[in-house]
Amino acid sequence: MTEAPAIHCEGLTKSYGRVRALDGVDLTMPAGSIFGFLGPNGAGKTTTIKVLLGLSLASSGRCSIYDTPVEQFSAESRREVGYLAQDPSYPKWMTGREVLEFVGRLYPLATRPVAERAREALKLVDLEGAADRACGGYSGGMRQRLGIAQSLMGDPRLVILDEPSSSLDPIGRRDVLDILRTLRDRGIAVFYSTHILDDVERVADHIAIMKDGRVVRQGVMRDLMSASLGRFRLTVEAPSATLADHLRSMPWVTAVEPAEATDGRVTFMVDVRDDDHAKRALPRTVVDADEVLIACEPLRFRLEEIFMESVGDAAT
Amino acid sequence: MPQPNGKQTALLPGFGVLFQKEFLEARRSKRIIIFLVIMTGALLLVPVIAYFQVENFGDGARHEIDIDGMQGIVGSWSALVGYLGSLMVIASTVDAMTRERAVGISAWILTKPVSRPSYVLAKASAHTAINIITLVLIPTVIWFVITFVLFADLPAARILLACVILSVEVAFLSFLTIALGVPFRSVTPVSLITLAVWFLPNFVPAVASLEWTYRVLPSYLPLAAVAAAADTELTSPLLTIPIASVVAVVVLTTLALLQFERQEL
Repeated sequence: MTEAPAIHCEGLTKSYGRVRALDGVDLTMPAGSIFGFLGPNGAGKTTTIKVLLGLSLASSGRCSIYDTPVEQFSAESRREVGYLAQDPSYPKWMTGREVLEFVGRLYPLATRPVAERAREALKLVDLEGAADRACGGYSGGMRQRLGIAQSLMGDPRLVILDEPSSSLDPIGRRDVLDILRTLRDRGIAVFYSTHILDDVERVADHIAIMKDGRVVRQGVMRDLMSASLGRFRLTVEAPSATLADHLRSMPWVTAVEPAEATDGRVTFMVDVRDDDHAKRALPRTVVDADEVLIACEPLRFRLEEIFMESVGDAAT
Repeated sequence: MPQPNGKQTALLPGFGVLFQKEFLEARRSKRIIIFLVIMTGALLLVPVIAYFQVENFGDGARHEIDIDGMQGIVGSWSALVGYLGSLMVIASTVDAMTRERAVGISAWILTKPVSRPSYVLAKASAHTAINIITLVLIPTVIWFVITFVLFADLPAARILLACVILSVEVAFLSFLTIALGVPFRSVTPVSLITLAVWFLPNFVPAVASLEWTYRVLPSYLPLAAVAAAADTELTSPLLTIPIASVVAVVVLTTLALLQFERQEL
């Protein structure tokens, strides 16, 4: 039997007066995945997260976590879900360890002692050295790492992270991504809302892109990225002046543009009608024309292109 | 709300842990320490000044004063705790809800296995406890000891009764201020409404048709405490005002909890 999705939303709407923050969100996050949740500012990401966490009530639609409708989520069921807010804030007088132990005591049915869970979480986020310092003096990165640690104190099956690396330097971001991979390896699903496309590209296995309160694209990252652009990058050594015209004469070629020339090598961007056909025909056509072929590669979507195509002008 | 897995049995899940956190936080507040010092200092001035007044000199080190003099000392104590204390309670509690909501701590806590009523009630109970301890009990004990050393015939039973009424007052104000933090998200309306609820009714007796309110309005709790401590006769408002206050605070807190249950965070 397949495991229930970590998150499933159908037709989720949320209105604030006349403003429709969510306009029929359909979303499915598989269990055990890292799910990149993308969208420009105001797309509805944080509102979706608030509905998932029960901090905000949906106007209509259904939303469930591991098959339990969120409106039926009891205090006890919340142990299934860990949460890190966008800009986490904790009682400044508490030390990092005290924050974790405070959170740990809120999970009375946990099987392991609070101190042990706190120690393990501190180790995971590499915060052991600062564990006994008041968290009022923590840097932004330390607060984020403490936030991830506290989200794990209930041994959750799903962790929802709202912009976990937005305030971090490159090293901090890399550390957070490593932590996310570790969580996935432990079978914990990670719902990861962020603006940083590069991070999502590096760790996520599923993504959803929101725009104007709707999910405009979602799916398996690998499938989305492997979709063809219908464009090839062709590099030829000292090509003849007629090569571009020769290529344009092919019925399966729609456009040829020289892109750059370096050390006698010229790179062309070749747009084609049929990607699969062009994979075989394009190198052969170049070689048959007595040209020296250096490289021929189909261009794939990068996440940024998928994102920009999905959100259009909203991204700017 | 339905419980999907049937494991949730606690009436107020997380209350104990949240109470402990709120109590520790309130105890560490610099404001409450300053208020404790001011209140204790102000109370100590009463017996010390009275001790050195010529009309109170007696044969021994421990003075015996007439009933009016003792009423003045005890009445001053209850009035100081009642009125100065009420301002301090409001000042120490006014941002307890709004601050945590503004920085997102409340939203963070409420994603844990706790209920929203637990969160509000733990906050109100902890502030009530710390306010009673620091603004009523500790200053009163110190004041009582000093006064007992300096003067004979201290009316301990009546002081105890006044202490109970003052504690009801502190509880009422603490719960009211916390409850107002539910509909209002900034300190200004919470403080203005609490102060208005507390002080405006003092003008009500000027309206003849509203004189009955002095028997029930929580604003008269300080007067009830003064009466309990220093009046020669114990009158019915000593009972009706605290009871009405408890009823009022239960109603207000229930309304706040109902609103908080469906509030966006």
